[in-house]
Amino acid sequence: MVKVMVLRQFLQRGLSLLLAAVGFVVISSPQGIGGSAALAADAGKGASGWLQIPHPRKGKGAKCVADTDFMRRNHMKMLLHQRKQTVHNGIRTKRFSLKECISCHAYTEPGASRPVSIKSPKHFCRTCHDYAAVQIDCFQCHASRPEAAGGAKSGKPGKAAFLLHTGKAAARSLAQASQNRVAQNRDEQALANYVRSARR
Amino acid sequence: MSGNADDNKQCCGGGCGSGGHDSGGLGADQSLSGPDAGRRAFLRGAVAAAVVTLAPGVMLYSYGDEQAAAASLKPRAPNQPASAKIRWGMLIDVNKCPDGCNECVTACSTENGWKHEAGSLQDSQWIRKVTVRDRKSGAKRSFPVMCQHCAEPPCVDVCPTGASFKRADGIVLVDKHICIGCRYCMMACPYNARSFVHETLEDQKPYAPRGKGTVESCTLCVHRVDKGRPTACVEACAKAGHDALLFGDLNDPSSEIAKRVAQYPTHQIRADLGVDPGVHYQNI
Repeated sequence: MVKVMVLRQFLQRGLSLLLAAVGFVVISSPQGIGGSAALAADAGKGASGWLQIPHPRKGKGAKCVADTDFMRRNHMKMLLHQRKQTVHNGIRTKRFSLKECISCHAYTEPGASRPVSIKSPKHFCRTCHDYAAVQIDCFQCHASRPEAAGGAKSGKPGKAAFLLHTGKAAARSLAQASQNRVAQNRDEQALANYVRSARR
Repeated sequence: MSGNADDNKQCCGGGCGSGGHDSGGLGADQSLSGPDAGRRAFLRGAVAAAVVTLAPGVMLYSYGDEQAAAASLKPRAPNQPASAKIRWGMLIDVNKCPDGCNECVTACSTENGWKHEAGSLQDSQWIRKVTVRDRKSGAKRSFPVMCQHCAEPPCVDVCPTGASFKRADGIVLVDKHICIGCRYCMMACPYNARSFVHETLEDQKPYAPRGKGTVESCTLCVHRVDKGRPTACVEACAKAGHDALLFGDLNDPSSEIAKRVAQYPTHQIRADLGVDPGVHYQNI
């Protein structure tokens, strides 16, 4: 019985590898499968052949919170995990939060005052999701672009409060730094968990 | 002995507060008489005076733009979950809430981005001013009503998906990811505090997601509370100079709200239902 299961698993893995290989050939070949005549006829339509492979723009920082190939496969899991943590437990670490993704990957058209919203095909999420034909519901509720400058920047302390604050500021920034370190360690741990679960 | 007393005087004059003498000295104090006792009394007075002169500075900090509650609220580290030791609540002093003032409602709307989308009764309303009148005397009172953040919330009891839930620190929320928009919670809420979003929305506030097909209500400005700041309505009320709203931890006996709830008679609306709201009303 065990042998049969192992065999089946082996076959399944072999099959998925084969499929992946075929997929890779399809995606990487500009002419499509073996440069068939029907597909080659459409090749003139796009710069990269009949298949328009998306090239999402890079975010603002030096690098993303994880490797690109990892992000491509697992960003949805990370967001799902983070959303539970935030909504139900009130954990608001920044690193894997949707808000941070949106603000880092915001794209502003030349001459425009605000980044594009999900309505535009140039929105970071849409560049891939349109291609993969995967509908995302996030932005029915969530903001798809950072808040407009001058929006409710609620709760900046007033001048008087600020002046009296400064005495404690040094101590507080130290405490904040240590809190940030703890948060970062936790994030590293979370990322390691993601990687492990993705490999399984 | 007199030399000791002089030392103490100098010490307090230097601003060290209660003085540095040991308990043996304290025992000796009690048996003092004549000029020494007078000196002690003077010192106690001086300490008291120092506190009074300090107070305006403290007030400036606590009752500045950020409102008093900010000083007593402790920001939680972003990686720490909400604590079950805390019970967030609000105290509304109805006597201080003027008729016609709408500052809290406006502030909530601006903060969380809800407004009159369709201009009908279907519109979202997280907080509203309610006016009650005594039929006999004609006395009128006006005060805000929002989600009362019950300890035993009926909305959570009836929710078929678990979208309606109570956070560890007593804040009642809707997880819009799993809300199917059935609106049972709206039926169950005795305070008519919840709204259903009928219209397609865009450009919501990044920290207050809300969308068509889900139920929403006052979140007790959970995004602010997690950062140790009071709710938008409380802040607006203080800014308008009314100070009718007070936000804080009902479980912490040293908090202003717990002290006031313990000191003065306060009411919960429809307390007879036994849902134990976190919002208390004073002078209603």
